[in-house]
Amino acid sequence: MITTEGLTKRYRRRDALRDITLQIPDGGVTALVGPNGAGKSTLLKLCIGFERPTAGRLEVNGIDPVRDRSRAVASIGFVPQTPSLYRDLTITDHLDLAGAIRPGFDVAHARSRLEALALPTDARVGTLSGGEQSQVCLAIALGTRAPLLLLDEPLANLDPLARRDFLRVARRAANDGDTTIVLSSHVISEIEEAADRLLVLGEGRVLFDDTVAHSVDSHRVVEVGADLGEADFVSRFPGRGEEVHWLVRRPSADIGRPATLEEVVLGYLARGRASSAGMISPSATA
Amino acid sequence: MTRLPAILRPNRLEITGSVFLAIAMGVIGGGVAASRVLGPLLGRFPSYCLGPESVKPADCDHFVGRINDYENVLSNIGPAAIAITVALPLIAAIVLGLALTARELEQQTTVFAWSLAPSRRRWLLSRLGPLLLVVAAMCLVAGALADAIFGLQSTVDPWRSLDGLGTRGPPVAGMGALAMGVTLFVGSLLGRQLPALLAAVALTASASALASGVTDRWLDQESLIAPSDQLSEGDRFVAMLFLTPEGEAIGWEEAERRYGTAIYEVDTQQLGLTQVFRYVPGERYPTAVARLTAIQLLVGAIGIGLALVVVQRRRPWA
Repeated sequence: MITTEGLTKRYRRRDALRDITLQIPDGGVTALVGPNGAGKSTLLKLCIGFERPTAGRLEVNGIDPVRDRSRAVASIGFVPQTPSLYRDLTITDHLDLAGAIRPGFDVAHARSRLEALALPTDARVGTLSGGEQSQVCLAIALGTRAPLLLLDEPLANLDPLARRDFLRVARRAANDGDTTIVLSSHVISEIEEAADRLLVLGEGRVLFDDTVAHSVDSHRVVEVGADLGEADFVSRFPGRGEEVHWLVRRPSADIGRPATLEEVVLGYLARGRASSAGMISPSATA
Repeated sequence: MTRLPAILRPNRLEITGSVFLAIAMGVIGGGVAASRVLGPLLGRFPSYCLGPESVKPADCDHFVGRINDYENVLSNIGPAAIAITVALPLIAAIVLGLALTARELEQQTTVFAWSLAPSRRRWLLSRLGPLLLVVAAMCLVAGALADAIFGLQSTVDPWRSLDGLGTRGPPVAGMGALAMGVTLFVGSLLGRQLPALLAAVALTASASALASGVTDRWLDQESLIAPSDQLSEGDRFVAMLFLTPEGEAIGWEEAERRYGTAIYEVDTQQLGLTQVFRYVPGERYPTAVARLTAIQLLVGAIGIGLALVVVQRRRPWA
């Protein structure tokens, strides 16, 4: 479980995270979604102790990564945005190295994952494609047998097929055991099938936090200017073409149409932006 | 022990390079050091003719020309051979030091390693330990070879001569540890190879000069005063002084203040002054070596300690 309270991370001129309070429960896959610069990677780097919070509290599996980074790292498997492997070493070399520096690393488990993907373990990492390198990183993260896997934008550099493979392996790992996966991404369409929970980050704040199923069920898209009745207005967001829609919450079933997950995310991102500009109401945004 | 090959595999390029440097060091330093044996063979004169003049048999006179040729060659290549023999392990120390932190940070492989290794300190020490041993072994051999080459050109025991202090013997190992510690620290701080290389070379040179300076000043404080004819090879000359009739040793400036420019114009003995030398006896060499090596090792240890602190606190990218 990841718990934060008033968590803030400030770089020289920019707030990456602003006073974030959230809980990511154990089990399943939580998708951390938001645009570039939303603070997704920063949150994950704080969890594994690569960054230190400017203010607030953070606990990973009940451990404060600032006070006890060793224990925090020991409970995490991490896949970085850009595969950070040794280009001149083979996959087997990486597995051996991981086994040497990580107590309890399950080389056989990681190897079996790679063999299932038919990756040549004697190949130098530098000769592998970006997708294959990401799979190596994921297999090594799985080999840690850590209760928490943090996957930092692993889909960003992958082609659609490789994304599918990657998400399938991650999803299976979450289903198989007691592994909790937190996956940051801005590719919304493909995480819908893989994720159980959705956490939308924007401009350093948590804009939305719910299960994926409930996120979709509880939102509808209506045309601008429609009578909202009992529904709560969320935001006005752009459609695929020139059109603009409203996203509403807890609506009666006869209003508009069901929202897709992408529309929920877009709606809350637009709400975050409007909130920063002080424009949250249908009349203000119409 | 079975983990060691896996842990060192990312550094195999630098380790292989260091092996080549060690071989080059052995060939150059060892080759020149072995000239005590090879020289007479190649120059076709008996090896016993290389002993002190007093014990040379009369038949060595026939080989004077060849012996002189050999000694000329040795005096030309000896200092260069010492410099190269000592420099090669120091290059290895800097290259290995760079690979341990600066290269990992620059290529962001620290993200891989630090996300797996619960303890960054243990991650660094587990790789530093064996490589430091490799550097220390290379440096000790280099120091011994430099001592041997120095011995070929000197009529006194190298361990009773302050000439070449710091460029031979155990201080070479001290310098290797210093270079590696400084490079490790600078590399962990800067996280980029080229700036770290330049800074490490500059800092290593400065720290070595400082260590030598401290040792020299320490030795100077233990200097003795004796007539110039009592100085022997291996002693370190510090200053020329005058001994007054009252038995006081004074320098040139003080002598000029007391006796005027007469000290330049007449024989100083006419003024009652005896010329003496302040010097450090060559017998102090083992003590000086112990001090210099200790200072170098201390600086190296400080560098390693600082690197561990930096690695513990920094981000895993440059």
